[in-house]
Amino acid sequence: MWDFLTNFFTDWTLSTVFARVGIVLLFTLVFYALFYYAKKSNMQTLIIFAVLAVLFVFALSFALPKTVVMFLAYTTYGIICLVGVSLFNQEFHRDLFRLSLKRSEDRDSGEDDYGRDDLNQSVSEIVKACLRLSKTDTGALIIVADDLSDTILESGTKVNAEISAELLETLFFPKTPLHDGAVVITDNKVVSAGCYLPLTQAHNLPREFGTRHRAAIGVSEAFPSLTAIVVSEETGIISAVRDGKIKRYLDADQLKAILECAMKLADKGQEVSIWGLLNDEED
Amino acid sequence: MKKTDNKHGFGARFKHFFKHYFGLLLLAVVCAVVVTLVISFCAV
Repeated sequence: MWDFLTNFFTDWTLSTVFARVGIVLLFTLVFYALFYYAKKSNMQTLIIFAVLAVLFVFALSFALPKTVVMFLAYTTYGIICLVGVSLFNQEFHRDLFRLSLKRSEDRDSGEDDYGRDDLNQSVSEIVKACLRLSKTDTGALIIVADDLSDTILESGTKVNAEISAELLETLFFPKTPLHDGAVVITDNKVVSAGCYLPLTQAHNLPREFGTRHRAAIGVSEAFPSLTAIVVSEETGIISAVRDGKIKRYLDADQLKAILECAMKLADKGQEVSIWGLLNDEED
Repeated sequence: MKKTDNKHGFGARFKHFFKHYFGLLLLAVVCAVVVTLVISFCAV
């Protein structure tokens, strides 16, 4: 191995350097993805194991015959890749989906279709509805989104109506056909009601979180730019979810501020002060 | 309603990356170099 290392670092022909840089970049990408998802999933021990395994094989390559090193190396690297793919394939899928979503959002240039007054009026109506629903312990799930998957919108019933507190209360009134699902608000309109949403797979959520909260967190993980408002049926507590983060025990002012962010009425500073840096759990 | 624009400034993003993920990137580069060395050694 020593001879090999000496040759390795003295061979600077262009094609060799290019090939080596390419391989290093490729492996950097693989290891970074593995470490990134391990850190995000609070599995730091996996990072330590992977690094130790890599260093262990490297150390053994000085002492063992080449065939044994080859076997050990390919087995170890194979296991690292397999563990990474099987553990983090959901997160990888989700991030790829987010990336494609972001690209399509970037293509649609931002345009203001409504006046601020219209949006402020809508915010007041939603706040009013949530407070009334909270008082009567009526469960509600409202999604405020710029864009949402057609599959979700089509799972519900098309409404396409102006936002009003009365409409929202009616849609969530128990024993009506549309009350057990999400109301989706897009482009300052109630576009759909009774929509089914993907549930989060997170297992570290408090026990009091029912299906409604899990659906809100699930959809916000898939569509990080939307805001979900949840009124608990058991406690009447109003919560807001964005990008997997949940804010609970909201009063009227906090809810208004969150809805203003969701409706793009607030500036970036206010948004960051409420949610922190988005797309990241660490902040 | 304006279309989504939840990006932060490049500076803030870079600072955030540097604070939380630069160590991981360095670790990934080190592992990649070591793996490349071992694989090249096996291939020779």
